[in-house]
Amino acid sequence: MNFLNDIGVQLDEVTCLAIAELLQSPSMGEFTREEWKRGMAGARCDTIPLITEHAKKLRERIPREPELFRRVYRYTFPLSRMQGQRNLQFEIAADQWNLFFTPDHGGVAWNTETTPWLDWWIEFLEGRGKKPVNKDLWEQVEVFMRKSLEDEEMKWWSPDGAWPGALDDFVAYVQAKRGKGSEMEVE
Amino acid sequence: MLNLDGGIDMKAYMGLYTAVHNFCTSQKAVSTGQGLQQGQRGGVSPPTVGSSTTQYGLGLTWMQAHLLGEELYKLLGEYLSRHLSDVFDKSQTHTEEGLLGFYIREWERYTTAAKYVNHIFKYLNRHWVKREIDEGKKNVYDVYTLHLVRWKDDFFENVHEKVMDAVLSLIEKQRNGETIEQSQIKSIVDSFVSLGLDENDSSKSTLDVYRKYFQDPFIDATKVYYENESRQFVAENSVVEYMKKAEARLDEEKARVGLYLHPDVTKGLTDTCLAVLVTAHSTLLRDEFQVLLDNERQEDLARMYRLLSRIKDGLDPLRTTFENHVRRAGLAAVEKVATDGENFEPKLYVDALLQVHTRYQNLVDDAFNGESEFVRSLDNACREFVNRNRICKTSSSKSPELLAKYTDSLLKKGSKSAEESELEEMLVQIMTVFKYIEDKDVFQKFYSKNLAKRLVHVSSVSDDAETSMISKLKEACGFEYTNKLQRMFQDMQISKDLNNNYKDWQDKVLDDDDRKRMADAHFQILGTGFWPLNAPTTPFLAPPEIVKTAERFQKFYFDKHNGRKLTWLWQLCKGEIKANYIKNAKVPYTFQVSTYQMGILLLFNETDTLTYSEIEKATTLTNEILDPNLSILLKAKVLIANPEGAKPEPSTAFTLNYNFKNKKVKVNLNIQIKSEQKVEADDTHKTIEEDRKLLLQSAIVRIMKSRKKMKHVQLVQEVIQQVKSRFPPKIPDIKKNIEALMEKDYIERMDGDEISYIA
Repeated sequence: MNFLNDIGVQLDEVTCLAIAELLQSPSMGEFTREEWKRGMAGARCDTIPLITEHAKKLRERIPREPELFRRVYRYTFPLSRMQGQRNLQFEIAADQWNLFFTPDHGGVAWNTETTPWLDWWIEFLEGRGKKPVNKDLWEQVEVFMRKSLEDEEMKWWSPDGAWPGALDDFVAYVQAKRGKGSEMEVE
Repeated sequence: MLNLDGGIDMKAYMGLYTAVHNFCTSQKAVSTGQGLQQGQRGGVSPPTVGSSTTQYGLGLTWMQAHLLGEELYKLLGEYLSRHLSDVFDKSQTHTEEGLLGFYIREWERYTTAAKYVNHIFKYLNRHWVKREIDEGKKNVYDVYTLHLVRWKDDFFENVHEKVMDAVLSLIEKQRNGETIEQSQIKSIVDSFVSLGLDENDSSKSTLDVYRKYFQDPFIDATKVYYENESRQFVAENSVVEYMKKAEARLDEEKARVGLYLHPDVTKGLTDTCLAVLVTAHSTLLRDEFQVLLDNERQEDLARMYRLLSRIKDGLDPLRTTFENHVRRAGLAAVEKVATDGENFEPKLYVDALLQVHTRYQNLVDDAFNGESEFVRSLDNACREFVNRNRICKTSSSKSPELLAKYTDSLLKKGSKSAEESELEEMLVQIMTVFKYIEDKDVFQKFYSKNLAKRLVHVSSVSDDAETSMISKLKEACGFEYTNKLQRMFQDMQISKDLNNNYKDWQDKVLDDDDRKRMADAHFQILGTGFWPLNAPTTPFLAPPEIVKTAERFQKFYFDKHNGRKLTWLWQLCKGEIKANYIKNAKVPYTFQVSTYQMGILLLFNETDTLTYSEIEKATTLTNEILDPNLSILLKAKVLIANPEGAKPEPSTAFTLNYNFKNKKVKVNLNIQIKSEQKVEADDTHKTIEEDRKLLLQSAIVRIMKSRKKMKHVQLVQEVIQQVKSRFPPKIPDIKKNIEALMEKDYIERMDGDEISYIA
């Protein structure tokens, strides 16, 4: 914790997870000496100011570089899991999504003109009974997010596609919700 | 040859031949430069050919030697032209049939003469003509061909139109039903064919002239004729009549070719007739198709099939109509069955399906020639109405369930047992419906349940019928599908042997005292994995008489097979007990009972009256089992309730009825309980869901194991391929199971929708 403070990184921002990814932290706030050394050497950081500087850069890069974003995002799944569990509890997953998919904490905004994707997604999962999130779904949500930002009409989606069932259902949910919205406009 | 025709005497022929020869050889002398110019005055005396009196006069003049051959050739040509213009003049006086007669006469005379002239001029042919042709000169032909060329250019070109008009009007007369001189047309055709010469090689003939001057006008005329006729006929007659007419006309035209036309015309003529008679009216015909189907006019349907099958894409719209029609028929038949509510006999339903199938199968065979495309339409339609009809609306597995039930009713011993051969036929019919069933796994589940019951209760009609049915299923679905069914049969056989061994063992081990108290028993050992049977749902304290017997068998069995586990399926056991307590019967009654009922009744060996709780305690049966069994005993008046008429409930007491009476000595009390049946069916449906999940997952793993990496879409497709012989999988279900396997780390998702296998 002190370390994070020292390098000017908040706990509730994506950069924090990026640092964890950089140092291959096995779980929250834990680092192994080996990985620490390797990670720091890889980033050419050996003093606190240098790390601070690197963290700052990361903060700027994350929303801009989808690949880095994806790496950090995917790393977060094993990082956030409870000890001995395969899947991510819904509450934790929702928190992390709120982190990653809003700009306030250094993430990417998952919103488009017509659709508050993130809110609907959380709402949708709550409606389904807050089931734990498995690794595949976790990873595919990020892919889905990118796709939906590209084309919010979801022309890329097809029922025979490879999306996890939960996302298929979500598409139907979004379409139903939109349908209602447009009907209201018509009225 | 000359003798044969006997037209020209040898001397004249020799003279002519020599004249031609001398004429040509004199040219040779010049060319060799001997200066000796031999005079040849070419007076060719008129050849008399056959009865004809044609005169060929060839005035040959003294000429430069190297031109002599050409001179002779040219003069012959000119002579022919003169002759032909005469012929043409004469032809002007003839018309119609007369013209045909004239043409044929002249043609015959001319060609016969040409043959002779050709002989006479053979020397010319061999030398001068040959050399000219070898040098590549066009328009030089051997003498016979020269005749034909002249005929064509000087006569034929002028008269062919008139001749053809005559021919066509003759044919039209025949089409109108008049009798005509067919040989005339035949001769004309032959003549036209002969005139076809290959420009490049005069020794070969082509059909060009014939095609251009005969075939084309003939086909045009045919077209016009039938256009008019069919238009008129359709306007005045029904479509059915028209089809008859069209068919007759097509046959007629086909025969016409054989009678007097050149075979080359066949295709063009047929195509034209089909175009005019069938294609032009195809919409009209097709519109009639539904009507004919509705009225089951098999013959007319066959006729329509024959007609439309001959034109391109003629049948496609019919297939769609047919498919829809069969589907509607099937749905209607099912609808009829369903009007009586849910409780219809499975037989009724299966029969309805079969009836529709048989009717249209026959139609396809008889009227549509068993054509594979129509068979496919029939199959499509049947698959539709077998799997999606009113009865299946609640659950798509209703069809296989009913079919399995019907099969059971056939294979189970009963009052309505069919004859062996009849039974076999019915099994074949079942397979017909089975072929269309999509949820084959459902059928399998119900079938194996029923088979298990038939085997355990020894109620099969015959082993042969059972084996026959299983081999049919195996043939249709493969070894895996019937594997368990076959294992069940094996178990029965093994059990039989085992019981024999057990008897031998008993004879050795038991003393007389034991034997007296022993219940006579038959045991069946059923492999857990193969039989669709579950352990009893209720605890049961078997009566001591049975327990002893069971324990003894168990001891025997474990000696034989160490380490095996036996579970007693009490719910399937049954037995007979003798009611010695009933005094008014001469022969003691025998009760056929289930083991549970036996457990209850044997309690009354100690006392005459027992309370509900006493029975409950002694047997440890749950209420769900105990109550209905007590009800049966009450209803049969084996037991009497106290207070009278009370239901089996904790406050009731039961007394043995010493005044029991029944017409039969053997009383069957082992009746299946309704609620049990229902539960069983529900259970079966539940296990089907589970099994499908496993089937899908094992298919996915199998595919991924061999492919290692695969696109998601492809994987889904392949799973469908593998599984569809059992049931039609839904894509969301496949996806769900892919996800489930991901979670179990059998497979993982790579980038770009690729799935990879984790070893």
